[in-house]
Amino acid sequence: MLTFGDFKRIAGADYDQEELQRAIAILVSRFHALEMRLVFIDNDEGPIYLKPDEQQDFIERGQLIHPHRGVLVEGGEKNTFPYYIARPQTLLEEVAE
Amino acid sequence: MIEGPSWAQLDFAAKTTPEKIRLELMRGVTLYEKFSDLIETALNYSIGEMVKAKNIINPASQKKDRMDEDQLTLTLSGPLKGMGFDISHSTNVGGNCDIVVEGGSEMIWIGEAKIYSDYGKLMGGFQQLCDRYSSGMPNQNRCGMLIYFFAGQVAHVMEEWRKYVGDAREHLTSIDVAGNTLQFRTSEPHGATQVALNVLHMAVPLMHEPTDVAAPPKRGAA
Repeated sequence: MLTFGDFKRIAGADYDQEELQRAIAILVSRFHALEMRLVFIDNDEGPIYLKPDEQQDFIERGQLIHPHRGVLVEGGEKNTFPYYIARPQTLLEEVAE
Repeated sequence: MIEGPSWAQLDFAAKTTPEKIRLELMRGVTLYEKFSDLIETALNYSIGEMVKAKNIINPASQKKDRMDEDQLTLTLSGPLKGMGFDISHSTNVGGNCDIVVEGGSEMIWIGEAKIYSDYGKLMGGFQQLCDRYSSGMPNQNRCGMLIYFFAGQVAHVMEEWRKYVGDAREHLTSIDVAGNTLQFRTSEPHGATQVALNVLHMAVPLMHEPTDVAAPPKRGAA
């Protein structure tokens, strides 16, 4: 799991820095070496990692439906955080080529 | 606690078109239609930037100082690289294609660029794009025809070009681009695969002939 905090430690670049964003964009959308995931920090329950269908629903609506309660979370996008996971299979395929 | 910006903070920070596109790519673009739409948005941005710099690209009455086709295409492509696209110039895709943008899962968008001089030359470029460079494969069937103009009458030329290409190719259909008379779309079955090949024709108007630099006519000169 890689957060923007990790990127800052590794690359010394803040999330709004163009070079870092470019690198992430290429790794995600061109090479599929990284995949973005989302975690919702619920004030009551703590971190809730969104499942792929919940994440897709959030991206399409632009609003978060609480994964456990099924109700709209007002301002949920302020408490939803992206992080990245490496896609080892993709990396292995690239190395094998 | 996760270190870093929330979804809302990232949205708020992305104010310009390049920033918004980069954010989309950082979040992940896996659908070809979305990939191609983003490229078109990026090109529209880039065209706008070029038009703003037309006095440098096409200095008034300085034909020798004008950019050539390759320089124009590199200028057009530059911002897309900054947005996070894997874009290249003169890459081999069925030949030396002017613009190639590659995405994941074998997604490819290609573009042909021409300086307008006559419809025959544009037709040559269009034929290369459709019949030589394009694979006609799904996820590779959206393209662009970029037309640079150093002279005026751009809307009229684009209208005539639309008729010309429609008359020349039997199975081609064309549609308007909403709110933009300097662009249109064409679609026709690819010669090899019969997959619909969809091309966005985009004008890049670079005429720069300011009238305020000439000496004003003398009044009452006898």
